[in-house]
Amino acid sequence: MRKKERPLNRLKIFILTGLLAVILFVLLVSSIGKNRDFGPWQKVGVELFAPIQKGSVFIQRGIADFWHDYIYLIGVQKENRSLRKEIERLRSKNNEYREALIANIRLKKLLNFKETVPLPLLSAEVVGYDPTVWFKTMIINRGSDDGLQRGMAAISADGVVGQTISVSPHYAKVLLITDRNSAVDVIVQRSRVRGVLKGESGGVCSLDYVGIRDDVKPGDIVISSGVGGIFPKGLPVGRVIKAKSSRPGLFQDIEVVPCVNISDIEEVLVVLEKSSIMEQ
Amino acid sequence: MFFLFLLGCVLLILETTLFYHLPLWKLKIDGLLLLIIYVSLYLNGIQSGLLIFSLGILVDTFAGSALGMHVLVYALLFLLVKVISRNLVIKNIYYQMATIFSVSFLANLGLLVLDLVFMDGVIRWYQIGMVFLQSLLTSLLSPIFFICYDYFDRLFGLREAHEVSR
Repeated sequence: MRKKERPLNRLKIFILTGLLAVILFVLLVSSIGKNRDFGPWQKVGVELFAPIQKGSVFIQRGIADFWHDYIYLIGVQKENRSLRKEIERLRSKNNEYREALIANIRLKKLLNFKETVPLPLLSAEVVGYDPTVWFKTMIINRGSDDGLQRGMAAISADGVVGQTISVSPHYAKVLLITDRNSAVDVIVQRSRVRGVLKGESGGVCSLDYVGIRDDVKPGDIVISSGVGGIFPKGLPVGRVIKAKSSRPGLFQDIEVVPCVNISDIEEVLVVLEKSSIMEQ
Repeated sequence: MFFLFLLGCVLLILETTLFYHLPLWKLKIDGLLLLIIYVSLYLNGIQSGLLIFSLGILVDTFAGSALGMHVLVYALLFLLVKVISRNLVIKNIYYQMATIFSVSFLANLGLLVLDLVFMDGVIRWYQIGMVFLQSLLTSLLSPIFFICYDYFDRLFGLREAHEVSR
């Protein structure tokens, strides 16, 4: 049987609860707007619990780190390896594309040039260079089967390269304008002074037979004169880098650097038409 | 001997393609000249002479504009090296390098002079400097090339065959 509650006890509970509520309310009202530092008991509590919290967080973080750094990353090394391979493949591909782009630019330039020159031209690729220090020749992949003959001009979009000196059915040897055995009849574009451009071993050419009173200055462009029957008239050959008339004698000492960067040349155009002088 | 000719062909291909792009200023690795000197130093007989002649023609085909220049220079080089090797003992690597430098200098100078004579040109001072530097490079590289040639030589037993025939 349930014990019957007395009315006095009930009243006590109500009074106590009400009193507690009032105290809490007073505390709450009194704390609003004042500084919020820990009280002495709060401080004790915090000091006691915080180390435990700290330990707990340390363990929790340790577990989380272990999960993320090891267990979760088991497949990462494998992924890393495959990504490295992918980077290598893409790099190689990128290199191929870059090379193709450069070749495209070069060939487009050559094609544009081919369209502007009103002569039958045949493109050829350089397959080999002269093995010696003293001579400047190159082998191209076109020969007599393609219509090439001895004494045909080899040019590029930048200017004159040289002339064919030996021809086999599929290949030909080109004597470069920088070879000492090469001589090209030229005109200085600005002053129309004539001269003969001869190769020198150092990769530059000398412009010979230009009189000491003739007007030639560094920076002048030298073009082919068309005389000699090998090179068409008006093609750029080189640029004057030195012109001195101090040497005793009749002629100036002139150095010309070729317009074409001969050491880097990869394709040339061969002029298939020979002039009547050459045929004679 | 045929393998040496093949080796010469390989060297020529390398020199006209790969070695051409090496950043050695204006100088070139002349493994073929070193092969000629090696053959002249260590091998004997008519076959060696024929080998040098054929290699000379091959070089003339790919280099320069006058056929016969390299053949002549290589033939003279062959005789010169034979004379030197019969009168001097060239066993030490330093003597070997000095000999190679001298003959390489003479060969390069010979080529230069022949070309200038044919073309009625003038020798410039920097060309002599280039001959010197080219010969120096050739002699400095000679130990490496000679080790390779020696290896092939032993592999095919050429030198022994010649020593027996002598």
